[in-house]
Amino acid sequence: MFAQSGAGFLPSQFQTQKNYATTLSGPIKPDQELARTNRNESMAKAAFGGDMRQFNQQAGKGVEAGSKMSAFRAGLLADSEAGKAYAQAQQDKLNMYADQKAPELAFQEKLAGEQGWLRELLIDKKDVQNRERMASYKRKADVDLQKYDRTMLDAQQSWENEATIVSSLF
Amino acid sequence: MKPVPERPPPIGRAPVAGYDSRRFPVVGPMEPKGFYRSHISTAEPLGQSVRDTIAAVKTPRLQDIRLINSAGNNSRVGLAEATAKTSSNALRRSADEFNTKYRTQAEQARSQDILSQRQNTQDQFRMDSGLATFNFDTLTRFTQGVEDIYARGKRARSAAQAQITASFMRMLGGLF
Repeated sequence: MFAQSGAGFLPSQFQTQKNYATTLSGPIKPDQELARTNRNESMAKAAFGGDMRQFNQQAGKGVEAGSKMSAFRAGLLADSEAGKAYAQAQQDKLNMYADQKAPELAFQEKLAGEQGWLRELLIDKKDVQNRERMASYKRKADVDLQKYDRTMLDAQQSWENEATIVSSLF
Repeated sequence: MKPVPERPPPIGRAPVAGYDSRRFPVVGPMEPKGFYRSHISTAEPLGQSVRDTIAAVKTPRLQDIRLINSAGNNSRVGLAEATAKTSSNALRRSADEFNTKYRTQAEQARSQDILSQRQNTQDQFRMDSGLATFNFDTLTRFTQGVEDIYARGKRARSAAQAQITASFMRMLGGLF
């Protein structure tokens, strides 16, 4: 019933320099104007078809030709067809609203999903940065400790030397 | 001589997870802290006014001058109104069903969105706790390492002094 939704701008490439930004453009909805036109056409056909059948009575003087019964039958058929068409027109309206709303939820879901992936990426990045910072802290502690250890070993050696020398004097 | 140092007090029972303790203060965050908000709307997509608009099925226009005020006309009116009413009800049900399915899916999507955020917060908590633990470990290791080296140096200096004193005493003993 609906024609294809016309995509005015259909990007075939996407590029960005941002690391943690979403890429979704928004809900992609069918053409609302197209749906409205279709619905209006259904309404017009319903009214026109019903009217035509009611006015188009059988002509001539044959049996039942132009009788009330023939008019009644024609009217019933016309009412039935018009009623179906009116219902179809309203169904078109429902479809129009539903087709407009469904992409919104789809978009919200997709956006939430992408944001989840981006949050994971951010945490991963922070984890990498944390590890680098932790290594720096550990390195500093190791270096300072080793430096103090070397200084102390030198001092120990000097004390031992001093003791050996002084002892030899006595 | 100095007596043998006393043994340290028993370490006691291990701390319980999730509780702070005076003996073992929690290093890092106690709980994952999160503020969760989802932009997935669970409101009904088709409001009351829209549903009314959809359900407003037009009745076929009855116009045949020869059938007015006749039994046939009443039949036609009845048929036309019945068609419109049943169509209207069917459309109202369809709209309601659409609303229901939409909201059900939206609720599920929102719960998944919030769960995803909670998992992220949990990961963040794990990372923060690990970072704080590691840093505190490093700090303690450095402090204790410095103490070890200092004590070792102190002992070495004391030993050197004792050696000098002993030599001096040996010399004095030789004099006597």
